[in-house]
Amino acid sequence: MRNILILTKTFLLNGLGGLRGKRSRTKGTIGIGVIALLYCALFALLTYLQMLTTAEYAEYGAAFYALGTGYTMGIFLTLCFAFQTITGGQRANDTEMLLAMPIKKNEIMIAKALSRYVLNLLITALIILPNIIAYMRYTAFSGVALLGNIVSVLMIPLITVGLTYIIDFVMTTCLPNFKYANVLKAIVTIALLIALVFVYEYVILSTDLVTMEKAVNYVLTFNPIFMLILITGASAIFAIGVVLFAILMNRESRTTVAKTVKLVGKKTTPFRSLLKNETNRYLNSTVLMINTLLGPLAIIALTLWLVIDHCQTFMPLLNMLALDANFVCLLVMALFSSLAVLTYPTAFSISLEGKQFWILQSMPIKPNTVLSAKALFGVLFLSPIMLTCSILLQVVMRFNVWYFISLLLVPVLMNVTIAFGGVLVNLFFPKFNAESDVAVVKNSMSSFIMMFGGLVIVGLFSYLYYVLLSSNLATILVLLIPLLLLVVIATLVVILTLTLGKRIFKRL
Amino acid sequence: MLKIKNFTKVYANGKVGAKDLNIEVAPGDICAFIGPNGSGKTTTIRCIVGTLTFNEGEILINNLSVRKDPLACKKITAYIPDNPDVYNTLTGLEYLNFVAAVYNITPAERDARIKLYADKWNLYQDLGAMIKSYSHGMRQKLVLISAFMRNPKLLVLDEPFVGLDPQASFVLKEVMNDFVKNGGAIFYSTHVLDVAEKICNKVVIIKNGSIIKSGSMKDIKADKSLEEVFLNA
Repeated sequence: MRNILILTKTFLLNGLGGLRGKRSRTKGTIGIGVIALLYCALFALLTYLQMLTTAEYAEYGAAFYALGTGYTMGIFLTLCFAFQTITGGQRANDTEMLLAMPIKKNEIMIAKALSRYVLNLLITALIILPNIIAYMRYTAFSGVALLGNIVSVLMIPLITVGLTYIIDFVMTTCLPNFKYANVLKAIVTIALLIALVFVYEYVILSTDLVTMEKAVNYVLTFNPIFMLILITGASAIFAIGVVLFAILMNRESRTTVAKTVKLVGKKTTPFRSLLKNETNRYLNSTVLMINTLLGPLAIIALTLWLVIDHCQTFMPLLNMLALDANFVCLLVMALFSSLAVLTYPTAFSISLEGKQFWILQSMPIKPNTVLSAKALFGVLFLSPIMLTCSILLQVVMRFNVWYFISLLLVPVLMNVTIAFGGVLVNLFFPKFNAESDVAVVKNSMSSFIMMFGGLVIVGLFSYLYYVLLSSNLATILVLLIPLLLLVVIATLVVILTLTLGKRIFKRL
Repeated sequence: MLKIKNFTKVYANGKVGAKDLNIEVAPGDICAFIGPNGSGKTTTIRCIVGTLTFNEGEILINNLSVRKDPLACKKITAYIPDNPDVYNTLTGLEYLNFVAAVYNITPAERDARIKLYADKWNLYQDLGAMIKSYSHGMRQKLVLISAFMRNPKLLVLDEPFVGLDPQASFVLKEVMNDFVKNGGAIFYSTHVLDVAEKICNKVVIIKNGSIIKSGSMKDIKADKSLEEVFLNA
């Protein structure tokens, strides 16, 4: 028991430690007390905002609606948070150290599960408790309702932690050589976020109030059957997860038999090697993927929706504005281009070299080879998806040929501009001494510039289309002028990257 | 202190990590464990400290079986890996406190030993900083402090001198000598053969999972250098 408490405390401190940051060696760290204060402040803010929302619903006797929405968000967001801990079978860095200590394996296991539960509970509580408090404020207080809510809040993290352990076990057992756990993690996280939006927009908003009220009442009345299922189910999932985690922990880390190496291998070029390097680094960084996969996934989701819907959702708007179905093509172009702007893995590709930048600098590789490989990664990342989606839309919607050509080329040219532009901007604002990928991706000037600069470009082009469409110009000119302008811009950016960028690279 | 008898480790994929090893390290010994890369040094060390299971043989630490009584063995053993992966988001002091808590060291003893060893290795002023801001050498020093702080009977080190500056290396050699003079035993793997020659009284040379030479440093070396013995083994 003693060891479990020591370990749980240490794991929690380690888990929260990432928030503490580093001031300087002499000034020490930001204390856990400060983090607790920030948590409380955020909690207070969310409670206040929820009070405002619930007050409005309460006027119509639907305070339960806000509570139901809160639970939905709480479950999804806790799941997203929990999914970040999936390792795909990689042994934790501290396992060796802990196993060498006089601590039983099951103590380590229990402490890890407990600390994960507590961290998940903090997230769940942060999202759901404000809803509960607001609900209690605007309805009659009930001890039973309070108990039902508290039990539900306690059970949700059990489910999320248990599920992540189970998924980790399944991945490790069924996909033992799967190198891309990070890819799966990133995709699942983004899929969960998209699913949350979908559930919120199409289920919560359109759910009939009686059904919602019934669902929430199971919790508020502490419905015995519901609570029994919830408690038993959550405990069972957690217990199964912990047992599977124990099995994983007891497995040796896998060693591979060294294969006989043939020295005469495939010839490759420095450019191809660099491109492969960029791809591998991307696939091994969950942070990078989570921050850039939204674009491609949203493009695919949007295309599928339009194909299934046959753009019928837009028809009333188009009829009202006396526009034909080809206008949908322009909307899609704008959306694809915006999503390309929000997908900028090249904006930190130089910074991500970090302390290993000396490797590229000391190699007999031309700077332009390096810069082209980095930029091309950004192009290859998104353009094939956009082209495929554009062709699929054309098959279904049969746009006018000039619209189709624009749909094919404009987003791709935007992608090329962003990809090369990202590398160039990063050369102006490199960040080699960041402590982690997170700091590079989220806190860098180049990310900020690319995101906002890119959106400004999309905005300006959208305005240009609007002006041209409002004029009396022939359709072909309306479409060709922006396309040619974009070709010029993309070409200029590529040339600048390979000339000015080359000079800056040499000086870094 | 450390007795390894007929120790064999075969991995699940058939790879032989170590085969029929017999090693003895008595209190007061500093035993160097040397061998080429991939020869089975880390496998053996990991089995001694209990982070890896083994197939055959026995490993006894102070007559306690690593297989039957792992916790008791770990209580008297301190292990320092070649690449000290410690919690990056704890401060140095928090990490030491954590180790002290696990090993049941009283706060007074803990503070006194931290002060003693942190001063020796010039790390005291950095203990309040996060470990992620430490260089490799500083992490190595931190892990060394955490090892000596708990007063073990057996010290198992995997490449302890890597990353240490000359001053720190000198301090480590002194501390190791004091440790064995007080009845402790040290078993460590190294590629730095000239240091091993100076401080070790025993040596074990391993190749392809089997011992090819073992005994006292004097006998093994004879009139050659340890490097010559190793290269010709």
